[in-house]
Amino acid sequence: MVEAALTFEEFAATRLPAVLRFAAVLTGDRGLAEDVVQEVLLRASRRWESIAGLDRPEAYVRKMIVNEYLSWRRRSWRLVPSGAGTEVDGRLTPDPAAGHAEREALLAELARLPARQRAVLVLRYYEGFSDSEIAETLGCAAGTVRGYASRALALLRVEMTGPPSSAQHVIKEKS
Amino acid sequence: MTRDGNGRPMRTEDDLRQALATLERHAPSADSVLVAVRHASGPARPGRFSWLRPPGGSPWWRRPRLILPLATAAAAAGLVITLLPGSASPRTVSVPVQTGLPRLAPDQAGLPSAASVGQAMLTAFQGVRGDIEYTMQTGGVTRGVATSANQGWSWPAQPDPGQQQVERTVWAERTHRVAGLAVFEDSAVGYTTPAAGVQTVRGQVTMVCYAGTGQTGCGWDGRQTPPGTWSQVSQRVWASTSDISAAGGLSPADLARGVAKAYWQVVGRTRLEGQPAIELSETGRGPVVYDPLPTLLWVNARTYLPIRMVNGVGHAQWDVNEWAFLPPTPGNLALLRVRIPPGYPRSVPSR
Repeated sequence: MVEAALTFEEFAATRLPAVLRFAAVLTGDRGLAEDVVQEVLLRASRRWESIAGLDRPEAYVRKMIVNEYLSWRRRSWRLVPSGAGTEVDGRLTPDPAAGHAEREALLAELARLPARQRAVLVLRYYEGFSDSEIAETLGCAAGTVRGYASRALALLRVEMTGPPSSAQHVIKEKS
Repeated sequence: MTRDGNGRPMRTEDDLRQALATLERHAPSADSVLVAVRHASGPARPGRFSWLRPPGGSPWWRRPRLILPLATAAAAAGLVITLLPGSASPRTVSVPVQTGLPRLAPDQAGLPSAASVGQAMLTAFQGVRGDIEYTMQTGGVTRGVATSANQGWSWPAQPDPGQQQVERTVWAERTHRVAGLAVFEDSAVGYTTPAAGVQTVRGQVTMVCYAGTGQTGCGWDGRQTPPGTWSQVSQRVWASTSDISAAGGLSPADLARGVAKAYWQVVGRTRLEGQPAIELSETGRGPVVYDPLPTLLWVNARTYLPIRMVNGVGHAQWDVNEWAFLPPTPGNLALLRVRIPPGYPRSVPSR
C-alpha cells in the first residue's frame, strides 16, 4: 500500500517543532535558527511536491538546514557568537548549579568551533547520525567526518569512550 | 567529567550530548516562523529573506537575452559610497547589480582541464594578495530585480600573520517599505591577523544600523546595535587567517581548490564584460554545493581571477556573485571605511 505523501502543512504541524529544536542546537542562537529555518522552509515549500516524494522528507529538510547554516557562516561576516548558552532561560531548563558553569563553558567552546566541526558534533551527538549519514548530509567522505569529529572532540577535551559507531545509539527520532 | 592520565579533567561524550540538548531552549516559535514564511510567500515580501524563490516564475531565462550594461565592480563600489551618506532614511542604493544572465556561446575547442584552471587560479590569487578584494553578492534575482545585495571589501586580500586586516560589508535588501534596495547595515571589522591555526581574535567592530527598514537591530548573537545608530566595540571575530576568503562571501581560493579537484568542469570559452572568460559548471560532486544547481562560474582567461558565479541558472530566481581585485590606492582604501550617516548617534550594543 502506498502511503499518501506528507503535505507541507502536515509537515509543519507535526515535524516543525523538532526541526526548530535541531536548528537551535545547530546554530546555538535563536535568531540565527529562525532565519535559517525560515529560508529553508520558504525554499522547501516551493518544491514540496518533490521533497514529499522522498523516503525521508524531514531528513532532507534537515540537510537543507545544515547547508543553509554552513552557507550563512560562509557569507556572514566575522562576528563570533560570544558563547551559545549565555542566554540561560531557567524556566525551560532547570539545571543543577554544580554542573551549570561547566556546561556553559562547554557550550561557549562549541560556539567557537568551525561550522563544519560543530555540524558534525551536532549530527552525531544530538541527532544520533552515523558517520556515513553525516557524510551524506555534508557531502563529504566518512573519513572526513571522523577527522572533523576527532579534531573537534580534542579541542573540547571530550574523551571518546568507544569507537565512533558507539555514538550512534542516541535518539534516532526526536519529535 | 573524568580525568586523563595526567589528572586533567576530561569531558565525556554524555557531557557533550547533555550540553547540546540544552540548546533546544533556543528553538524559535513554530508559529512565528510559519507566519514569516507565509508572509514572505505573498506578493508583498519583507526584505529579510535573501534568496526568495516565488512559485511559478516564468521561464524568461530561457529566452535569449543580452547581458545588461554593466559598470565594473570597482565603479559599482564607488557609486554605492557616494549614495550612502546624507540622504533620507532608509538609504537606498543604486547598485548596478548584475541581474542578467549572459548569453552563452561557448567555444568548445581547445579547452583546458579543470585541474589546470584551478592551479592557475590559485597562482593568480598570489599575485593579488596585497590588493583589496571586492565581492558583490546579489541574491534572489528574478526578472531583473534583486532582493538583496551584499558588498564586501577586504584588505589585504591575503593577509600575513601580524598584518592588520580590515573588512567592510554593506548589506542591502529589498523591502516593501521602500522602492529599490535599502541599506540595512554597514559594518567593518579591523584586527591583527593571527598565526595560522588561530581562528578567532579580538577585533574592533564598527556597525551602522539603518533606520526605516523595519529591523529591530543589527548584529549577532544578541549583541544588537539599535536602528538609526552606530556602535563601535571590541569583540572576538573570526579571522581570515592566511587564505583569500576575507570578504565574508564565497572564497575564491575555495572555489579554485574545488576547480582543481574537478568539482567543476570546464564547459567552454566565452566573453564576459569584454573579458575573455573560461566558463565552468559545478558538477555537484564536491563538498560545497551551491543549491540549487546548476551553478556556472566564469574565470578571466588571461588573469585566471574569478569574474562571476551564477547559482540557480534555469530556476525562477538565481544568485550572482562577482569579484574584483582593486589596487590599494587612497581612493580604493577609502572604500574600507564605514560611512556614518549624519545625525546617527553612537550607541552601545545591547546584550
